Amino acid sequence: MVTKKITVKNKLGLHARAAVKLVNLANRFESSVKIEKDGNIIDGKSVLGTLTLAATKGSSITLRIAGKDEEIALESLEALINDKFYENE
Amino acid sequence: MIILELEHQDMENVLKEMVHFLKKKNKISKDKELFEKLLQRERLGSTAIGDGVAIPHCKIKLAKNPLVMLAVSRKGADFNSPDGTPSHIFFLVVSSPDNPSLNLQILAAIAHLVRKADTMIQKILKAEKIYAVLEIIREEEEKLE
Repeated sequence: MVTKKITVKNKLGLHARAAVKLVNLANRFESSVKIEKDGNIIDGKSVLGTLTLAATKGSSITLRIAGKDEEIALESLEALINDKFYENE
Repeated sequence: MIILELEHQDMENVLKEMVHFLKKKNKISKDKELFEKLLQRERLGSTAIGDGVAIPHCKIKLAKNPLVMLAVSRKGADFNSPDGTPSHIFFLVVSSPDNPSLNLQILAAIAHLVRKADTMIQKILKAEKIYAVLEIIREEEEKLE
């Protein structure tokens, strides 16, 4: 398993469209993707689960990824979050 | 604020019906702007999240607090859901662009409610009165606490 703590940087936080992008990307990998925030762990392949985190700008989330393609999954998801979900701000 | 049975089954008219309802209840004044924004948002990507639920939403400068309303469609409406199934329960959320954090909290509250509540959806679809729907939601909320 690989884990990484990441700060949400985009202005709107992990809002609905960002959550869909994250989940769609997570679903492209075979590995399981869990996201933890403030002690709550949810399935990163579920939009509803991801929305329950209410991760605002500046909050820390931890990705926990386990499986054959965990390294590339982590790298891709981290890039998406760090690139602010390709939003303008 | 609840619509117990939506007339229409296509996305544009479902949104229109919900916006008209809010206008009729004097909850909003700029109905055309709200409709356009909701439609724009759907075109960016469907707000249907599968399992029969959709969360149409947008941000608009409001004088008052954020608005949340519920609409039910027993027949189901086509909202381009990722799982290809019709949407039956619509949570409409209108919030202010000045407070992204509150917007996330509202979405999170709805997600919490819907996530482990398959039975809630089935119960809501069988409810015949608005107070019965409110009671079902209240029961589910209590379970979450």
